[in-house]
Amino acid sequence: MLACCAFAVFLLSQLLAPFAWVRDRLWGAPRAGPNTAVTWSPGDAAAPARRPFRLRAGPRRAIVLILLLETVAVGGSVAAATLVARADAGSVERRLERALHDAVCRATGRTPS
Amino acid sequence: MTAIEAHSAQIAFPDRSNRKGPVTAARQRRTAIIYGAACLAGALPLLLGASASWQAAGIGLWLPGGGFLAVGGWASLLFPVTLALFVLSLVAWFWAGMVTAPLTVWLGSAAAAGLMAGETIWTGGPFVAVACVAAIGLTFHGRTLRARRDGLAKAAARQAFAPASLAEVQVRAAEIPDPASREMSPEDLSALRYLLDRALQPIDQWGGFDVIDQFQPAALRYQLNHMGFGLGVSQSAYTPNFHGYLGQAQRNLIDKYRLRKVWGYWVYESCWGNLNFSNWDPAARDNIMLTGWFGMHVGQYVLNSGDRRYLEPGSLTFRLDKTTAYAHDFNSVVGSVKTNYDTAEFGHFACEPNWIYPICNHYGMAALAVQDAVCGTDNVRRYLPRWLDKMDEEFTDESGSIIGLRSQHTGLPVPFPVGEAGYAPFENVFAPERARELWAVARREIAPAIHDGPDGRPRISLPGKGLDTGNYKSGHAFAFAAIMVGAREFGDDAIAQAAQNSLDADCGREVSGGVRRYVGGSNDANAYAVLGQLMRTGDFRRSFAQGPSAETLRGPVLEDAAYPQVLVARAVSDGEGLDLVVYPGRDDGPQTIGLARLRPGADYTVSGATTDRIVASATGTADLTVMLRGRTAVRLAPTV
Repeated sequence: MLACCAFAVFLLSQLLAPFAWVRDRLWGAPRAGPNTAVTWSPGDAAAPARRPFRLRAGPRRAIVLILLLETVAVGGSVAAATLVARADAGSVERRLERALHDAVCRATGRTPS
Repeated sequence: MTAIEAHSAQIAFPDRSNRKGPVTAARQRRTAIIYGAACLAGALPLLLGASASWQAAGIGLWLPGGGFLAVGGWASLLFPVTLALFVLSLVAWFWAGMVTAPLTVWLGSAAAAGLMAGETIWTGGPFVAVACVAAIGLTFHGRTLRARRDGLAKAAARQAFAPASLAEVQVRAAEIPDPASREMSPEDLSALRYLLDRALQPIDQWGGFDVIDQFQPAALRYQLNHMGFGLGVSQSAYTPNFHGYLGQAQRNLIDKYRLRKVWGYWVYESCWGNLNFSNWDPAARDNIMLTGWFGMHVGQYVLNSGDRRYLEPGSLTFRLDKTTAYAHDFNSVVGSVKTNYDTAEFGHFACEPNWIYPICNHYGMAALAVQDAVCGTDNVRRYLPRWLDKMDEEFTDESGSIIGLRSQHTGLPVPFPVGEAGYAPFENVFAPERARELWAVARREIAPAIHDGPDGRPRISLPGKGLDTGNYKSGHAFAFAAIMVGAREFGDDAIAQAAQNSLDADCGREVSGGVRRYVGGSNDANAYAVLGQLMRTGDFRRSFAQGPSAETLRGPVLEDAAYPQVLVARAVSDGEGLDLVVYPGRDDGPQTIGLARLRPGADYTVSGATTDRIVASATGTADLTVMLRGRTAVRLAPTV
């Protein structure tokens, strides 16, 4: 097989996989067109022109994606704020935190606050 | 009992399954000690009751972003962000040898956590950090154990089938094609034109190349090397006495390689990988992905053409800018490989700083072998034994397979998809017995993927979408081409044909203007497919380790022919005469070709041309007009 580091490509592809999944769901999987470098002939321009980037689907799907991201962001913020507000003295979260704090203090010989 | 079965009963297939070599073990111990010391240092502020800032920074040493857990609150959200960033930094490390990237992210996030800490740390922070470290450690440990178990099972399975497979390989690999009857077919010529079209354009033009990045497998340097290999095999196997545009095309590729656009990546990798900000000589420290590959490429040209210009000092100079140039030649490029081997603790050395790839070290050892063939050195005798020992000791896993990639600094292995089929043709250049063992394993493990296609012809079905490393897109073009190259080298024609059929059916075969190409593959995959198309048993080895005979290199050559009007399918000399087979690349009709290296003033009898006699000039040249119509054979012999 070829040379160095297809693993890096693999790793990167794994990182990008969730984004590719969302893209495929919204716009469909990109069709594998012919490689313009390979179709080059000596009479052609020296370097194949880059295809201009444009969304294949209409603006409706783009709006859906933006709304989805906005919903996740706003929803996450509201949920986080609610959790913080609920963390009063009697809550499970607060009791767990205090127990862990005391454990650290005992381990380090400090007086629990 | 067949002859092969009888032969296989006598074969002992070596069991190379291995766990951990001494250098690997030492590096891994060192890594563990450094990490343990970092954890201990990170725990000290906590144990000594230092300020919250120190405690958060200390916990940040346990794992990337761990300090943010200690800061607590909203800052905890930076923990997963840092982990993601750390993974990206690992990609940069793999991708371009950026050794500083993961260190910067890890230590930088610890420092940032220290700066963000308030009066106290979140008490749960240390516990969550420890839990994360344990979870990550246990996950990797579990995977290692599983891989070890699977590897041992694989080794046992290989021991069962390998002797019979090796017996078959030994029989097939011994059936060398008859040089007297070799010529390229029209399909071969159509494939070769794919390379010639690209190689014959002006040096600074890149039409027909994939220009993506210059760090990883799609880099121009690999495309150039593989295109050079295809042209080199065509010369070695079919046209050793054709110089003309074939030689020009090969030299163009070598000249393109020396442009900064191609090798300039080393400036960056030297800085961020080796912290070397002054000497960016690409043929000095590490960088076997250049020296090994380019050494093979140039050496193959010198060996098969007899053109020794690249042995002259400064003939392969890498120019950085107007004031700085790194003067090299074939021997100094290969010399860099040897110098690195002399001091390589692992017995193999790195491509990008830190990353040792056995596949690139196969190219490196092949470069040493081609220097032996060109210059009469004894590199293989001197370097191969340790190279092989270290391969077995440090780069072989439980299954007996070569470990694809190892970190030089940490000793940790990383999965990398190169199999026996990929290594075998390269190993055949310098260690043919071992190469056959590799192919004996590869062919049996490929066999289950071969089946009859809808047209009844055998095909190979590979799992998943595949990855074409030549342009990072999905597809199996490169894999099919690599299988074909391996199969051809060892005379496994059935597998080679199945790979060829798969390329034709699945990878967008097109013939346009007399040029064959696979539009579903990268330029690199296409170049490798041309190599596979042209090769027959042992051609790869011969083009690097043997070269043409002294008589052939002394005899007349076809020096001048128009491209693409005259396509040369055969050009071989016995030292006195010249056998040519040519085809029209465009229209039928007369074409004038130029001959050289004739005996000055000598009479030659000609068949297949418009004249039956020529007299060589005082410089040993002559022109000949040939009426091209389909396959046209021309024979030239001294008049008795």
